[in-house]
Amino acid sequence: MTKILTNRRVGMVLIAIVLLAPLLIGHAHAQAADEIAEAATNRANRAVAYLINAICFSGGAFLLLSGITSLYQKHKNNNAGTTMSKIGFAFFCGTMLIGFPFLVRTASLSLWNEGPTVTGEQRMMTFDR
Amino acid sequence: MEALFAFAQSIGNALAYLLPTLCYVTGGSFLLGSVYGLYGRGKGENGPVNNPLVCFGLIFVGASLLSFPEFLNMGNATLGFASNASLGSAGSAPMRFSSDDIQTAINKGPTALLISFMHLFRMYFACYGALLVYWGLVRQIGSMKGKNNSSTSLNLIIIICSFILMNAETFTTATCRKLGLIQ
Repeated sequence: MTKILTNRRVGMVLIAIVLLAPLLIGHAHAQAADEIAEAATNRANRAVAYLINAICFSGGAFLLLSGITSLYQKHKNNNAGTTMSKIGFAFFCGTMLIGFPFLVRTASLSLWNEGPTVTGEQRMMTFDR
Repeated sequence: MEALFAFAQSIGNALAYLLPTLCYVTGGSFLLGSVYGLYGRGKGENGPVNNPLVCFGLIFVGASLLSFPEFLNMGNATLGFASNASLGSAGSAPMRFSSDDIQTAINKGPTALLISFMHLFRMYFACYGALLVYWGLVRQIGSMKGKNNSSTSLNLIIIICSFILMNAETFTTATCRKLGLIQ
């Protein structure tokens, strides 16, 4: 059985703590959990917004291009790999990705009779009675 | 003692900040995942993500997470609770606490103290219950995709009990009243 807490590892962790202490103190000093959560969620929201934007734009464009080239390929040399269903779904899903806000609004309106309320802006959930 | 209340208040507010972000991230990726699953289906792939039920479930849960306050209000109204969830701007409604409440409750006896504790921690309970509702929804999607082995009834019970947890104060008061502990 291997020992997890060897002297060497404990020593390494202690040295790392000592070295990182000046960095961590600045962040951890006198901050409440809600302030940390506020800052963290703000950054996470923006990061995810950029990420979704990138995925939708590049993924959607890729799927639309793939649909066109597959259609061309099918007409030039019809073989088993490119089915009409793949081409159709490439156009369909590419359009849905490029128009992602449309998909979000449609799904939300269909189910809840209201547009999406979680829009990526920083919000705080409140409860009242 | 007041430090404990301040801590519970901070945790409750932190969860209130965390929830919309979690809903945004997960709801957005679920909708993307449904598109991806549909495309894979068109290509002839036959995995669990390409199942039409899973694609529909991803759209349903993704839209619910992106309109999470409406989903919570629907559940609360179904279970007969009067509480109303909404999304305020950042820093809008921090929970307030005054030690006078607890002081008057101490003089009235243990049941009144329990009720006043529930009242003090209501923000924490509401946010934690909403987080568990979110967790139940995500868990059900994981089960549909074959990632975990939880049954649908278990996930439904998680969701329903989380709605009760969200309204712990109302529930406790009603139970105490039913047992005849308070008038």
